[in-house]
Amino acid sequence: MSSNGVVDNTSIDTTIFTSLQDKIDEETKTREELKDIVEILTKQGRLTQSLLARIHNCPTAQLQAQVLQPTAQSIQEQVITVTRLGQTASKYPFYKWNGIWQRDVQNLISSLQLYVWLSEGKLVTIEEVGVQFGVAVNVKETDTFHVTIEDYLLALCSTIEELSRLAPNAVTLGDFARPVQISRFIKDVYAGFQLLNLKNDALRRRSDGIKYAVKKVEDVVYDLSLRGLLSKEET
Amino acid sequence: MKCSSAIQKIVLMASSSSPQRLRQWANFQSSPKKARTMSTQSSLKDAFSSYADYLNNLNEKRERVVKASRDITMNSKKVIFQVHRISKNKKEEVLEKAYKDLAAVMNQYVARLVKELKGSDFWKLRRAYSPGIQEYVEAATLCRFCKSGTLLSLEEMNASFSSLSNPSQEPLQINILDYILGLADLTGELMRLAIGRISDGELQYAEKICTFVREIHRELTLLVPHMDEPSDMKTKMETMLQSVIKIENACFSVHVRGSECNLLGTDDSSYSLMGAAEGIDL
Repeated sequence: MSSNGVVDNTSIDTTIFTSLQDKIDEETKTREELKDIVEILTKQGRLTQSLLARIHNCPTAQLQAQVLQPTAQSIQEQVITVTRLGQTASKYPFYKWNGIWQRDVQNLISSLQLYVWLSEGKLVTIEEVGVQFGVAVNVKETDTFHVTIEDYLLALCSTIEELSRLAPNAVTLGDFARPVQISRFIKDVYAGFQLLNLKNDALRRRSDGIKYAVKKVEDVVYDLSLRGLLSKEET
Repeated sequence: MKCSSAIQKIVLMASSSSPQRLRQWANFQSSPKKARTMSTQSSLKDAFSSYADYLNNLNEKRERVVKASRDITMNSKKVIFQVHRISKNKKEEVLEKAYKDLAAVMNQYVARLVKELKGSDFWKLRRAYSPGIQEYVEAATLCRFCKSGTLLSLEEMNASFSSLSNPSQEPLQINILDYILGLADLTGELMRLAIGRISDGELQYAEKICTFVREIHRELTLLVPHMDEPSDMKTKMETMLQSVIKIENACFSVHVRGSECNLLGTDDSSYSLMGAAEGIDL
């Protein structure tokens, strides 16, 4: 090495960078592998959501045949994909990759929540979601594919929003009992959310919307009761 | 009608691919309609209480991790300042202290971070601790360069962490992105160091730094386009190039002026060479 600019440039071991390159290539491969499955899930999710969107113009009496049955099939298709995703994704660190499928899994959970509420009038629990998906839920100790509590709660925010939209639409279709059921349900859920200490994150922002949903449905119920359109049992 | 045929297709596919799941689903569907009772309401409340516990614990843990990360950052910065105290006659002594401080960062603060993280936390809370890790990479690679003129590799750093956690647990592994971002910051520190060395009359040292930084920049130019989250990286690459150019310019000026005054290589050149660093924004 001398001061006239002739300096040997071997001070860096170039294998350091080739090894980094190999690692990056490997990550790219994993990403592609997961994205391929998630793409299928996205496509299937669109069908499920388009089927569920029919609740807004389907009379309650025909709900089972026209909406719920086809939705069940579509959800089930998605479930098969999620199970497959879970098997593949469990090979890798969960939180390294979960950004790839988070949105689609949340949409699916929301579809299931809506489906179960429409057919049984109850909130599907996160454990039941896990059973249906054939995957674990809320895993703490091991690093495996699972449904997180955050996913479940974010999905619930969407579900509530969808139900608040259903309340006035049900009235239009002549079902005056529906808004009352919805009102009770989302008030319960709202009370649940109030138990959570949320920090300023996505969940906090999404759940902030629930109070508007509650108000919207309350207004519908109020309009109905004002005009004496609710039976005694419903009020 | 298009839609219903699509459904039929899916029904067919579904029934052929997973009969077991179908049965399970059918059971689920046909479970008797439950009336909304007080019990469902209270079970909902129980469920949310458990979610609240989960979120509280997670937030507290995240806070602790952020705190640990901040401590790592702060103390790694001190190590870097220590390295900059190098002068022509006091190299060994200064570096020895820097290495001692670096070891303390590892044994005290990185160890505390590792204690918080287990299982899936490494990735779950990555954003909370990656600033600290990047700063640590910067400090450790800077120390290594000053000592032996080489680049500390990701593997070596990861290996040094394995002593912090007990063998049954997964050790802390530095994420590739954090390592590369740490390297990017390293070039900024090396630029300062080069200017300092020039002022001190150690032109050879500055040129060695120049070559080293130029190499890192060149190698990273090849890597960065292949990375998945290159957003931070693009601006860092720009800054890195600026650092390279600053060192190059400083080396150039000192050559020009040095040859004019014939001061190159002599011992009391520091005063006139100070001018070489003029106009260089530190």
